[in-house]
Amino acid sequence: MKWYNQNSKEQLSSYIDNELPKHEKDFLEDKLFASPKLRDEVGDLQKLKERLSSLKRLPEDEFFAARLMEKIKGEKKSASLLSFVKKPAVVFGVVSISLMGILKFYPGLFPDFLSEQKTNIIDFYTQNLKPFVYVADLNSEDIFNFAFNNNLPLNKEDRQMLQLDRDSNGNQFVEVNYAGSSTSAFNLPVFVKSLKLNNDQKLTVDSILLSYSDDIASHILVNEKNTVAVNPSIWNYHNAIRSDLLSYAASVNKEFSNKIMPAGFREKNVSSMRVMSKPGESDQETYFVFSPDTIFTQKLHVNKDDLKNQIHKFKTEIRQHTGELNKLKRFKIDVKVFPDEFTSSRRMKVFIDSNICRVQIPQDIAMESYLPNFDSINSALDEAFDQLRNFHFDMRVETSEKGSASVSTDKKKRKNVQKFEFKIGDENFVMPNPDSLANFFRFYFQDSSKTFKSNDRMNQDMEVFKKEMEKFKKEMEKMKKEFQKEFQKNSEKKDPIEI
Amino acid sequence: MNEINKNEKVIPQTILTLNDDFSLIKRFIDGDESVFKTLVNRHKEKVRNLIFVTLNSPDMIDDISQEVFISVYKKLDRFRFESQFTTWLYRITINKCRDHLRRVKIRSILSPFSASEAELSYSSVSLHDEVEIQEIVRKAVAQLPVKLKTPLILKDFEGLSYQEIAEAIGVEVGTIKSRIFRARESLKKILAPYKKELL
Repeated sequence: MKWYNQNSKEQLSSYIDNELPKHEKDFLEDKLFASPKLRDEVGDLQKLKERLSSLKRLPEDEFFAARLMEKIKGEKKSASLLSFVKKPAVVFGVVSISLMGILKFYPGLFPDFLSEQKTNIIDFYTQNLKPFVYVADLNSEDIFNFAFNNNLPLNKEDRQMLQLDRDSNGNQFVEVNYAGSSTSAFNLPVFVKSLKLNNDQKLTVDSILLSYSDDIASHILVNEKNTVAVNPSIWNYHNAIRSDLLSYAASVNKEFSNKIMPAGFREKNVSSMRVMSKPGESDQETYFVFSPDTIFTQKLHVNKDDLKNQIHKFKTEIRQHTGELNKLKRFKIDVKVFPDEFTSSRRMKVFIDSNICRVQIPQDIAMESYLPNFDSINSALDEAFDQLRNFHFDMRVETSEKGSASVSTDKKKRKNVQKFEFKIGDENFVMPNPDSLANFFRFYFQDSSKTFKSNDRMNQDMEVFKKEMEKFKKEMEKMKKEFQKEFQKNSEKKDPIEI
Repeated sequence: MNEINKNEKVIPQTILTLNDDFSLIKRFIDGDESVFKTLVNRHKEKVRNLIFVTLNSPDMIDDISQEVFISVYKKLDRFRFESQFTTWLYRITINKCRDHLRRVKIRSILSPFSASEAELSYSSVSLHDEVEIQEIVRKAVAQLPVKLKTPLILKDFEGLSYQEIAEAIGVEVGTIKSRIFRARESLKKILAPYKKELL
């Protein structure tokens, strides 16, 4: 049975295709004779092959050739017409004269024609737009990921994401992509664990996140033509959710909040960050419209109050009629498309490959924050959440030959280094007791002292520090004894007094 | 003697027309475009079925089949008679299917709501009739990656040899052998919930 491995399985596949050389076939047949398991394997493969070979063929299309020949004839005809066009000078002349003639009498013809075509395309793709809730019921983790990882799921099964972010040059972009199997290291469970939230507090976090669900969903419109329209003011919710969560973090775990908030910001009134009701007041009506054929910006007027009522009603209906897709189809909102003077002149940078479709957002419709006084705290929020992501302490103990020792706490990014220095050569030097030092840290960091206690590296460093101090103490005592000895000797060896 | 000769029926000299693919192509190259229809009629069903099984999309069969034969029509005068016409035809068909799938993939980036159409519905595990089984197998094949699916279809559905498949796809025979094996392994996994009914 040792013979039966991956390679031999491949041989079985070739065997049922009758593609093995004779000696290999004979060898395999000997093995088959001896092994029922192999025979079963071959049987399965043969059945699978039969299934495929017996797949029903299409009914014959008798008129296929006739249709094809007609098409070829048509193409030949237009090609023969185009042969005239192959003479560039003639074509150039004819086209120029025609254009001059047409433009003289109808100067607005081409712009009108182009704008009409654009309007047709825009009308086609913006018909029957519905809020995002139509396809995706956002949960708290989705909204958390939107706030911290800047993405929202468009299709959870295929991990298709809508990403709103900045590139390395600081340009904002909207992107539709496939996230593959990658997941962010900073997610809702990590956040809950970091804050040490109990069940009730976790439910509050969920409710804060879910309170944004409808707002977010109404800023992304979709339709059955696979159009996705994104209102860039959705970015405001990104900031608002972050600030709300931070505000809540401060209220439930002040020490933790103090550690993550940047210096100078801790004293500010945290309640000023509560901005949940504000972001929806933006009057941004320009949407980025992603359609299967084109990407454009378009002003869409959506009555947001009506929309929210309808979403609520819609959700209730869905709950009552789980699985009735017809209910979804009945959902209609009033989306008015009106001319956008920028649409024709605006140039957007679009990047497309097999996995992403990214649109760089022009400056004039960049995803700015419309929150009152939000700009002032925006950078502080960024820094706070950056620290939250990288929340980590490292303790270093350094001793030098000159007789000084220092202890520092060090963040991962080497920010906010705190240094404590003990100069051994100082007259007022008192030998620090390492235990008291640990108590100091326990006092300073309070709750998180557990982290220090469990930090192996810190314990090791403290042990080293303790040993070195003990060693130093012994040396000092040794020196003291030697000095006393020396003093005694000197006092005993008094010079004889000469008379 | 002369009488006998007179009584003999005069058999008109007939020109033997060869109807194999190569002869038809030669006639086409010599200017007889009418033979193209014969070539189309001879091979159209192979092309249509290959497209159907590869894409599992009935709506696209006619369009892509026409694209294939228009491409053949345009390139036939450059045919080098080094491989069989069918091998060459299969190669064009496979390329057209790949082009189509590439277009669909790019579109699907912007089409979040139709990507899972071809997925199997595992809820209906009890398969009652052959039509249902055929549909399940077809959808399972559609889920395979193109590079595994194509050689498997050419082998099991079209009945080509490994050598012919290698020529049509433009890879080594060993690669074909390995891909067919991997395709079958993947297919077995996809069809595992239906093993009792299918295998």
